[in-house]
Amino acid sequence: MIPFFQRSESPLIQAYREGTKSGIRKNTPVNELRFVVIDAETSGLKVAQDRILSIALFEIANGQIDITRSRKWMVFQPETAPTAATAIHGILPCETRSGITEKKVLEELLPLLTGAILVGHHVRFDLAMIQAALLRNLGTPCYNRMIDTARIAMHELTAFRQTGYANQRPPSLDEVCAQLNLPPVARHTAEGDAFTAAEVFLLLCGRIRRRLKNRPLQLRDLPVKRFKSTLGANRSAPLNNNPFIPI
Amino acid sequence: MTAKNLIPDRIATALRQFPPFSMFEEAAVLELALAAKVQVLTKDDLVWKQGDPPGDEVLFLARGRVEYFCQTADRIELIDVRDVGDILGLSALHEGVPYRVTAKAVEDSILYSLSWPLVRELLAANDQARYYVRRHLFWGTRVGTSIPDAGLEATAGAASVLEAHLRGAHAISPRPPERLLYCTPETSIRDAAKMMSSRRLPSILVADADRRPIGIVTGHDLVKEVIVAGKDSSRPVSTIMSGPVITVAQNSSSAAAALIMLRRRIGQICVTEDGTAQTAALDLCTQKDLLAQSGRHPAGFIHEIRRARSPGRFREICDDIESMARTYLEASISGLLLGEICAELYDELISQLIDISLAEMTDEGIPLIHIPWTWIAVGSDGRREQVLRTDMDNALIFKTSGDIEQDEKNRAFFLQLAARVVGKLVEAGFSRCQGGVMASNPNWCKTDAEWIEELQNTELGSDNTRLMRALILYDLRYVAGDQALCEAVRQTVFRAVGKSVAIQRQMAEMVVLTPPPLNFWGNFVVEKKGGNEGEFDIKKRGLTPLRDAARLFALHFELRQHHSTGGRWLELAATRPEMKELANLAREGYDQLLRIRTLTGLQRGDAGRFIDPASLTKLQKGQLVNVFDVQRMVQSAVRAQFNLDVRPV
Repeated sequence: MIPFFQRSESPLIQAYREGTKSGIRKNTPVNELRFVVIDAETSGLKVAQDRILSIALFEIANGQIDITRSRKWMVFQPETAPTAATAIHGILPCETRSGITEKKVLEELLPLLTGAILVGHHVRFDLAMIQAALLRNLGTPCYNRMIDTARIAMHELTAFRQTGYANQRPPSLDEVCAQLNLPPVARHTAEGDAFTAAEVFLLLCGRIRRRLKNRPLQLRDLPVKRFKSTLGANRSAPLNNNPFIPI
Repeated sequence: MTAKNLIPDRIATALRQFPPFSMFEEAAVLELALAAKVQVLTKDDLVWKQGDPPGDEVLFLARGRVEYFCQTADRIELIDVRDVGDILGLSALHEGVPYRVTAKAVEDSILYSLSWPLVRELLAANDQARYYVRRHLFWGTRVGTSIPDAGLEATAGAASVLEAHLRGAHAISPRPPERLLYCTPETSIRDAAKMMSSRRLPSILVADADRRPIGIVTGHDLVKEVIVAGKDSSRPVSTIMSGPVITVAQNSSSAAAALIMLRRRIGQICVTEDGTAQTAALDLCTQKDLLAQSGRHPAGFIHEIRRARSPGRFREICDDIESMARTYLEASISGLLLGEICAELYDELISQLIDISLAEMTDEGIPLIHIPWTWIAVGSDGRREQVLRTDMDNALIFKTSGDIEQDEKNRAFFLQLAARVVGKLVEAGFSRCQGGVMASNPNWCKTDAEWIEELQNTELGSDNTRLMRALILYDLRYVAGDQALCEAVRQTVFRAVGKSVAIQRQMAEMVVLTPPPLNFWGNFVVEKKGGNEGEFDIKKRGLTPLRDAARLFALHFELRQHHSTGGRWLELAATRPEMKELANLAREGYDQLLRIRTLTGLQRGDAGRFIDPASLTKLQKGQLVNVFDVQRMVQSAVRAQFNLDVRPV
């Protein structure tokens, strides 16, 4: 649109935008889609102030979590002090020094996100953090579609059905695991949470398939949302579906 | 914060809780985990369908439950259940055939897909793990379940001994081509003979430049043509070779090849690439070579035992021996004969284990003691009745030095050797003797002088344990080491017992102690006490009296040629015409009992001592009643021979 912006766009971002922004046909079979299950540990819950400390992702292709294609990064954050979140994920400020810079992580991350549907538990928060970082370092927003496993759980598991009570909140990952009878793996590490979310996602997909009388799943059967930055970089209000408050 | 590879570590930890992964090295399992894929199935999802081709991954069930269903023409049958820690799809992958069952998740399940090439490599390198996999995963029954595994070889009884053979028979696999001894037709007879003698082979193949077989020269040809007919040994071999060469293809049946050789009356058969004489020769096999290759033939086992080194491999071989025993028994081979076959195999196993143990001790710098010693089998093993690996009965004799202190030092050495051999036997699946009748026990590891002294003392008194020990010893048999040493001790047995009327009388009383296990109406007497109520103790009530009687007669009449109960009855029949009929009947009866016991043992996975009369067929019951009639006859013969009806004064 504006020539000035187009010139400044690096090939990395261009490839990401072109590979991701266009929609995916609603009747694409789920087995042909590429899902990236992602989880980030952060220094806190304020998108504007807090920083990403580590990111992990697992790819799901053809209904299987492929361990060989998993990635994880420790992010170097020079200006973090211990916060309330430190007690949860246990990442000390000195440990982030062994990581690589935020910009470098994002440059490695972006090609993996290209064209993928992002999956996570309360994924909206992780994406908000990632988008904030993307805007800061590379000047691009996040274009990916996303699926929140908490949302599927509310649809598929009777225990979390919408009841109409005012204070009902989406279930935490621990609660979903308990319902699915799944032992959570290494909670509150990016890698463990992402892996657990991936398992939860696959199990929930199975539930949807069963509800649909074993019809092969299509994209339209999943609650895919476009990520809109309602928690934009300027907003500092904490999220109401707070993944860090142990319940 | 986190370990380097958190999730693969978790997967590796989960894998390592279960065999066979627990038997692999940690690094190897982690490598598997790093290449793993995680699959999640919800209830009623299919893992695979019957008839699907296997991929290149084995599945490890990390959570949940999977059931195997087999679809036959008209119905679907549940065949097996797989639980956490089980491996799925191994047999299909191993044999490269489509899945023979449908696998369905019956709970939400998590499966790890592991690379089959990696797993196969690990299994090939680890005897113990391969043994486990063979035993528990796709052969035979799984521990704790009685449902047979899918895709087993048919377990129906073999119709004949030949069939029993063929079932385990191998295809001919040619040995490395550099082993093949061949020469051109122009080679002189002398050179060909030199080649044969330097390689110690009975024959040489005559082949053209492309190694296509033209003729064969055997040692016999050389004798006939050169020595008898006086041909000049500098002439080419083509003048004396015999041809055309009979050929078979590689990977054809070794049994068929053996039959061809018998029919055409030839001593060698040539293996070529496509089975005709127009292709290159790969191997020249004699009957002996084929025998060693034919899977379940005893000769094949001897060959395998000689080549084996690791405990897991020995265990595998012993399992195979047992499965051979089962097919032989089902093919109605004599239990006594089978005992003799197995005794040969287990003897070979023991001498191999002794050699390995001695080599180990040398490697560890323990000085070997070079005095004559001999490993003997006693008890049931000595009588060559050990078909199953129920327990071991063995002892050791070493030459006395005349000095008590030196003897003690030597004993320490031999005890250590025996402990190693016994340990290896246990690893091969034998159980330790409950009564401690093992060469690793100082009571059973003595100098020849001590043994002779013990045996000459026939005043056993009324102490039952001393009598039992003596009875076990009377059945001693040479296994390995210095045979002369063993013979000396065995002579003592005959001399001492032959002279002692008291001990013979004591033994005779034992024979008649157990009446035939039939009640007034001709029904079996079953056990009324103990853990086996309602069952019938075939060992105590059937085998023991016949066995003891045979031993008693053998010692009484000094029948030294045979060790086995069957052999003793045979010898008795041959040497004592007045007892011929009785001895033959007793031998047949003993044979039948032995076979019933071994079959029960194989079915139940124990010593087969107790049988349930209800499980016997009418025919078997009839046979048993006949055997007990024989037992009654034997007992009255013993009474008459040893004057038991007269009270001793």
